[in-house]
Amino acid sequence: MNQDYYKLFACCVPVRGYLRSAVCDLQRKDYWLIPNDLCDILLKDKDESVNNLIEKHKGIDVKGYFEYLFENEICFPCDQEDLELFPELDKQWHIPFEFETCIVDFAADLIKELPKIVDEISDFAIPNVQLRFYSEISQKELKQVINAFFNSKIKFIELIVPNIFCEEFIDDLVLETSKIRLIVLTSSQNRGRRDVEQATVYHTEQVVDTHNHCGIIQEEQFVCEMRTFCESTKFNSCLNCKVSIDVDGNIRNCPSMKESFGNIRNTTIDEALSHPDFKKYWSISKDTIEVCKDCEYRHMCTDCRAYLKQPGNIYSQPAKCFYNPYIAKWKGDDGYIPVEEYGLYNEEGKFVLDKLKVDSLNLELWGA
Amino acid sequence: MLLVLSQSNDLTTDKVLEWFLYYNYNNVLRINEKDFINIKEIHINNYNEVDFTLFIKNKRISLSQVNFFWYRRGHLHKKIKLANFSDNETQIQLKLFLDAEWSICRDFILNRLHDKNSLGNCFKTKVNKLENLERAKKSGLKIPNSIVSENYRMINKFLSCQACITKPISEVVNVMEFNRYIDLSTKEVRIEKKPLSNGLIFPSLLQNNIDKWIELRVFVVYDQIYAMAMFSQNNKKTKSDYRNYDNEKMNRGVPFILPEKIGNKLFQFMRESGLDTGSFDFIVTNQREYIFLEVNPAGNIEMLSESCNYYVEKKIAEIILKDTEHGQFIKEDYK
Ligand code: SF4
Ligand code: SF4
Repeated sequence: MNQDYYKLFACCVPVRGYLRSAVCDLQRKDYWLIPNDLCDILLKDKDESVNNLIEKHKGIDVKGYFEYLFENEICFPCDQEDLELFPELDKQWHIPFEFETCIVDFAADLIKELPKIVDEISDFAIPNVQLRFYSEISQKELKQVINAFFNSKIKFIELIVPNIFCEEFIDDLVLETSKIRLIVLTSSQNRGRRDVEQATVYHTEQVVDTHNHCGIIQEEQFVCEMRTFCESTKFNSCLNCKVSIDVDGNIRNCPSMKESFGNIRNTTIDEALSHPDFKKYWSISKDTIEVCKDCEYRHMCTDCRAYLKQPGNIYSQPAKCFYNPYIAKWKGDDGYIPVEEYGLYNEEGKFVLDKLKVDSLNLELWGA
Repeated sequence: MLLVLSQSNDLTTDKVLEWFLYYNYNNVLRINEKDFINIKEIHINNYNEVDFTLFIKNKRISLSQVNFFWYRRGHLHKKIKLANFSDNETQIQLKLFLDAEWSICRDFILNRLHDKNSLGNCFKTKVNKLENLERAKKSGLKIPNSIVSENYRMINKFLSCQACITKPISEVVNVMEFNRYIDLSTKEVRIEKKPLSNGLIFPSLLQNNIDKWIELRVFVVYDQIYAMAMFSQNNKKTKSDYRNYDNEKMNRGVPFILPEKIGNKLFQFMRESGLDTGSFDFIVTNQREYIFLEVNPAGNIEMLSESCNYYVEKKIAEIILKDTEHGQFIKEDYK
């Protein structure tokens, strides 16, 4: 056996960006950034021997590339006959629920509707709720809210709440409520992260007093794993299978979206969901979003459809993204220039890139 | 009604049942191993069809209501309470008698359930590795050369011809010693220079250590095959048994297409064994030979399903639903 052919592990999926690419490792939940010429080989020259490729691409260090790919277990060497034994990943995505996550933004008024909300959500046997509080809430009230959800069929609870609590209280809360997986304590004294049993507790100094704080795109929040990757190939990375109730009780896709589909006080979630426009955003996948479709992070990014670079153009890049995929720079990096300086949205809402300008800048930034 | 027998901590059952609910099929009763069972009546007479009625978790169910039985795991248990006898020996004897009485009823109930449309078989869960090796061979599959011996010289002779592994003939059990589990999983063995004093050891299974390229985990449900290739050779830690998980560098598990001729032999094996589902372990050698190692009739599906993105649990739900009166209601696009 010569093993002079190669195969990508099916869980390592190349994602081509404008300037560079990523290989998403959906099993080890990690990614590698690779040059585009290598990505093109992986995407197009699947069934050729490594030696052939070395011959074919004389200008590129194919040998070095493959040493790297084998070393990092992105590819494995095999024989020609083996190639057909390893199919590509079927990127299907399904959930056995009508929707998956419910966000509830709590204000004092809405707590009165607690039994109704829990009741409504329970009807759908969905797995996750995210409870967000924008103003301080007493220990007693917080416990009351959490217990109501704990006793329902919900499996996981996430909590975002201003920090007026001592550590012991939070620890006890997590211990008593096995369903809590995430707590974000806003308006904290300092930043930090700790693990308490099954949950992760974040402290942040940030003040989160309205839903307007949502939608920031950060590298730290990227998720590179099987389910989110597959979902992102066909559906929206944020709004798919999400239902929310805002501080006033309005049922929306997310609390920051303009469209309301009735109030929880007189509308059922079922009624809201069956409105023809409720799921309008669910299938806006990253491959159809301007700028994002050229970004190597598009299948691990969280996306946002509520705050947009071009309000009204539901296919425009998230407003709070400060990454420029055309030059592979984040805001704060040396040489960062916002996307907008290198292109414009045309009348059809497409982002038209000034290629010449970008390419000459890249030459300056990254060399040949 | 669909009746499921499982264990309370079995995630595969949880997931399959979620899919039932999603498809709007609520007519499901899940019995977990530890659930309390009460026989209201089993009647076998000259006039009616055989039927029985049980109370399970305070629910009444009769045989005639069941139209599909999914045996996943576990057993039907009965808590047997005995009055205290002064004589301990009497107590033990009576307990044995009652156990035997119950097991006849239990087997009768399970047999009648298996007469229905069913998946899995509770009478096939005990694995006999030696029988399975023979059966695999008869079905045309390659197997590792294996010996069982308690004779030190025989074993050394076998060892001197080839590198070997040893593993339990039955199943791995958890044995504690000094607060640590004794490791009974697959091990490589070498010739002992110094013979044991009496030259005897307990009958042990030895198999030649196969020079593997990849390992396969193959899950079969009826005529559907889901295979995963596992690459572990790069990792010294996992050379002989991939179950010694290595967290930092998780072994690669990727979708694999089992060649048709191996698949056909596998189906032959299943027919011979009376299995309609099972998880098979294979090794593919560097020479691309497929070697049958083991079958587990109720193995773990989760890792295979997740690593390969197969949604096996969804498939199982759909297959079962097709066989129940609900089948026709599943929307086309779900199939
Ligand atoms: S669409 Fe934007 S604002 Fe709405 S939940 Fe998603 S990230 Fe937040
Ligand atoms: S451009 Fe920004 S928002 Fe779009 S995929 Fe890349 S990082 Fe995410």
